[in-house]
Amino acid sequence: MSWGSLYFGFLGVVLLVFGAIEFITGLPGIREVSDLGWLSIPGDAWRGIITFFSGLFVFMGSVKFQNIHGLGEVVLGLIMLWIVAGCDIFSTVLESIPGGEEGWFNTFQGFVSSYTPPYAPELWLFPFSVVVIYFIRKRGGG
Amino acid sequence: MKKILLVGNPNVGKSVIFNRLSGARSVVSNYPGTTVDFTRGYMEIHGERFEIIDLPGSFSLEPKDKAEEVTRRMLKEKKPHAVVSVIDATSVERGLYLTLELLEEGYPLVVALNMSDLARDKKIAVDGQRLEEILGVPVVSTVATTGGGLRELVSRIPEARRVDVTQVVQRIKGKRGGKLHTPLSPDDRWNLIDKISGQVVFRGKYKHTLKDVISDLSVQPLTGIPLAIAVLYGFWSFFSAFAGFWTDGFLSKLFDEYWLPWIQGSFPGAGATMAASSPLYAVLVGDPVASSSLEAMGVLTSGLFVPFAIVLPAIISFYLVLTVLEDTGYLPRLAVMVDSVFHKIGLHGFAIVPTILSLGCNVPAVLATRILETRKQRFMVMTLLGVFIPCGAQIGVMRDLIPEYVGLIIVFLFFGYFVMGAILNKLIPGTSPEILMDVPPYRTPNERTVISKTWMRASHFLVEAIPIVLTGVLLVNTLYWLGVIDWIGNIFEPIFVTWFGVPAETARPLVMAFMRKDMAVGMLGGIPMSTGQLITSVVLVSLYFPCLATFLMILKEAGPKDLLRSVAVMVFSFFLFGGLAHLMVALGGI
Repeated sequence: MSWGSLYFGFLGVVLLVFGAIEFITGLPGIREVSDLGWLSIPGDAWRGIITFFSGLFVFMGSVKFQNIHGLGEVVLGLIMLWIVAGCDIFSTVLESIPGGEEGWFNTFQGFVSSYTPPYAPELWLFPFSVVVIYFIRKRGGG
Repeated sequence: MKKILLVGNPNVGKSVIFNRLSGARSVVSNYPGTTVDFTRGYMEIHGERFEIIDLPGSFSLEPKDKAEEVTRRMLKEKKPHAVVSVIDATSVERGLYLTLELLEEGYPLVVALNMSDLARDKKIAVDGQRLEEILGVPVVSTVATTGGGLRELVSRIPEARRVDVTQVVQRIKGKRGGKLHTPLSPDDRWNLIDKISGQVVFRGKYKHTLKDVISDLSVQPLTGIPLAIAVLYGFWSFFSAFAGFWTDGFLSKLFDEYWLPWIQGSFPGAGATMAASSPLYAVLVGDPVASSSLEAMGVLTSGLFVPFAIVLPAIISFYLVLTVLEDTGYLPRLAVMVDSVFHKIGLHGFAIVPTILSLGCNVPAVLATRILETRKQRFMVMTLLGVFIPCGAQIGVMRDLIPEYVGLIIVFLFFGYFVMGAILNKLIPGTSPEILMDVPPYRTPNERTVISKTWMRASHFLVEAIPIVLTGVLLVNTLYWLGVIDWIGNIFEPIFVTWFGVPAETARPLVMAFMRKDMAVGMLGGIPMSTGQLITSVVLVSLYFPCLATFLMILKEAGPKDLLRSVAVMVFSFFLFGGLAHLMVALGGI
């Protein structure tokens, strides 16, 4: 078993777990946003479904990581993770600029504080997912 | 002026070549059927000015849909000086079929072997020189997206020539083999193509790439459906964040804190209430004590606020994402994914293309139904999207008015789309043939194309919609001032209140909805009502007749008879699904 297979197998399981938690906390009647200081679980069932399947594909792909189909499944799962994390980053950046009731633009302190934790699980896991680029390049690109 | 026609199969890059040669900005996308009508431009060759016409994609000269009919008609009518037959170098055989037909009909031809870079990537070598010898017309390899080979193509257009197809047969089969009669039968043509490709197309050993694997995974249900959910989630998140940034962050503040108080205070004729104000003030400014531009209802308040502050950011963000999805090639994959679902209502997966375009604007979506084969399918999709698919502008206002219920409303409308589709499929005679969908390779979108296409679509909104919005508000406010709206409200009050459970004042936005639905939804914000009533009213505005521009486009595309049938379906849907929305809101206790 290769390092890549182990690495993405573990990442896939972590994504699966967080996806399941997000899905459950986002169900109608529960819809709870949990803030653990450095980690927040947004109560959003759709997001949970996406992260869960992202983890499932990454895990399934990691089992046959040596062949191109395994890598393809890992990349597909990570594309789904990047969509969710990318949207989070995009909306954080846009929300940090306007000043709201206070004025046209945010204060410097308000701007900086927009970027401090807690972050959603997808954002925490995003840096660990870009490792896949190394494996894509190693295999000779797309 | 001499004419040059660009002809070829769908999605081979004709419009990209057209844009490069004419400097025009025709809409190009990475899926077949983007061009459903012809586009004109001009170009110069050796100091002489030519008219160049980009024709819709066609597989043969025997038209199978309305877009192919346009190509056939234009070829007959225009008597071209030259026809550029654009062939996808990764699929030469298919392009040769149309090329041989063009030769048989005696058109002066030049062949552009486009996408030769993709062919190289796929280890396909095409011997252009040999093909030129066989066909007897100039053959040029091009890569339209980068402009490669286009200079040579232009320089060789004057060499376009007519060729007797029996000479082609002789060159391939020898003089004794040339017994075929023209026009060739389809079988003879394919046999000939087989022989030609045997001499010019060489396929190397091709290894499946990562892009191919992801392409396969995105059309398989197990992996494709979660990916589609992720893409739609991303679409909605981007749309909300971008539109919210401009509308809530800056434009609402600009209108509500600066523009509205200024115009309320400085426009002559203000009274303590709208009724006490002068008629001109009431029509142009609206409520003199309104605290938000959305609630003021005047031409210069709500009439400017809705299109500029709410709709424009929504339209830009919507088209930006849609363009990326189009140009990557994801849309045709989505069409493959939903094919089996659409088959249940007598359509096929490609109906998703006009449906998704309709989420931007219904007008180009009605035009896009030309890619559907039968009159039944076109009628069904035009009617269904006119009734059930809210446009981007409308969704933008809904997002501003009831953000937490927009998803629910869209799901309800899509439910109506499929239920009504199933009913229409049973009632309307006609066939729903199977088609083979052409899935293009994934491509990285070109940022210049994305920006220019988004800008073209957004500027189309500014030019087309804003005069209608302002005229609509002027008309509705005048009718309101004259008491006509109250009269309509009183007549329909029993239906509004009993069947739909909404206030009689909803008559005013419904009259407006005939002009612009986005403005109509905006007007709902100024009427006091419960959240449940607001949800039902928003659904009613969506189900109501399509806006004027869409109406005219349906008339143009389907004719008066089908428009009347469409109206009958719209009235039925309005009462059925409007009542159902009321029932669901009541049962849900909203």
